[in-house]
Amino acid sequence: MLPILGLIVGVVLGLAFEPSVPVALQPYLPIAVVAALDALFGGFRAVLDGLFDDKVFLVSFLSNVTIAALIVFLGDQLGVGTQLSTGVVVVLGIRIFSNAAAIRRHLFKA
Amino acid sequence: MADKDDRTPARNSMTLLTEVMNHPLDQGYVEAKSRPHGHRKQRPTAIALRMIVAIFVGLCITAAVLELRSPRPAVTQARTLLGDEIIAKRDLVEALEDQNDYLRYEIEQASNRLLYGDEGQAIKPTSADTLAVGSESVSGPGIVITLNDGNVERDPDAARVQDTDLQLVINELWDAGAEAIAINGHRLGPRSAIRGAGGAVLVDLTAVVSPFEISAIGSTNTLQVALARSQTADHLSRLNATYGITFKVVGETSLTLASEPVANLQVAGVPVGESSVGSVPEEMPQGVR
Repeated sequence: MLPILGLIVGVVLGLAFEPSVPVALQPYLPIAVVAALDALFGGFRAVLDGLFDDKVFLVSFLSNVTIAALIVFLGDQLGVGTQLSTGVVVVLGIRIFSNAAAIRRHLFKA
Repeated sequence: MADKDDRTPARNSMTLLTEVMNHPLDQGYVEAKSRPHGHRKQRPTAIALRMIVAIFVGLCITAAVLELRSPRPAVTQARTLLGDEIIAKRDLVEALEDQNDYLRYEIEQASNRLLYGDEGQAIKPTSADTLAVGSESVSGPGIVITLNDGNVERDPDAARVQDTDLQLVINELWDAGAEAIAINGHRLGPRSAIRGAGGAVLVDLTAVVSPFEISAIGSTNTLQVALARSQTADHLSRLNATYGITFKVVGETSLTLASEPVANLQVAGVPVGESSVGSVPEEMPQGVR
């Protein structure tokens, strides 16, 4: 549970200080946010499944974001940036949907 | 059995999709749970490290989200700025138009002094000239033709009154002996043009919209009869039948048409020496004829 608390503290700090993102990183922000959402939903589902592990959550969060940004970067270098980001968004979107469905089953039993 | 054999290759080729669909949860969670329990004892340093990483991750994601959402206010700001500028410029244009009108009035006054005053008796335009040029407002009996757009919802482009329709009516009226014509109060002179630009009809670069009210001064009876007998009347009734464009002709005992500002001559002038009018220029370039 601690990392979730830390995450909330980080969000509050971010809202309070509004740090600026380097311009070079800006193209990868949208996909990174989608990846972070995926990790968040995964973590929430793990909590409901009783499988939550803070280390796994943090590592999956960081690696998801990094790999998603890396794929987009690679795609940009190869000239297929938009296509690759579409692929990443589709895969992450499917995962988010299935995790959300599992969460829904847990919460509403339906 | 045959059924199973058929299905296997398909399932193999879909491994990625089934993986994504059926196991969206990271395998790591399950593995971490299945590890021996003693291994999960956490040292304080590890907890602190995880806390720091979590705070860092939260900070980064918040920064990313804020960054992604921030450009929108800038865009709307630019939009409102442009909107304000447009409104300000519109006021400026109106002021300039007023100034233009005033200057035109002054020019008219000055040229009237020159033409009719003590100084110059040389060029005295007849009333027929001013009538034809449209430089003076006129009044007299005539007819008013009103054209209305048809069913625009059903047929957005074709059901509008086109520039050619107006041209037909105007030409018919001139042909029938109209002495002065105006469209929606816009007097037509010798240099007037009725054109279509996109979906709009321009009369001398000014957009006019439906209902189009064409006022023509002339013998009411002659104009009405000529218009009714002409092919233009057929054309109009065809427009009515096809697109629902309505037209109405009303005779008026008294119409007043405003004057049309006359363009000043910038380049053209009267030839020097009256004898040269109609004569062949002395130096004729070779190969023209």
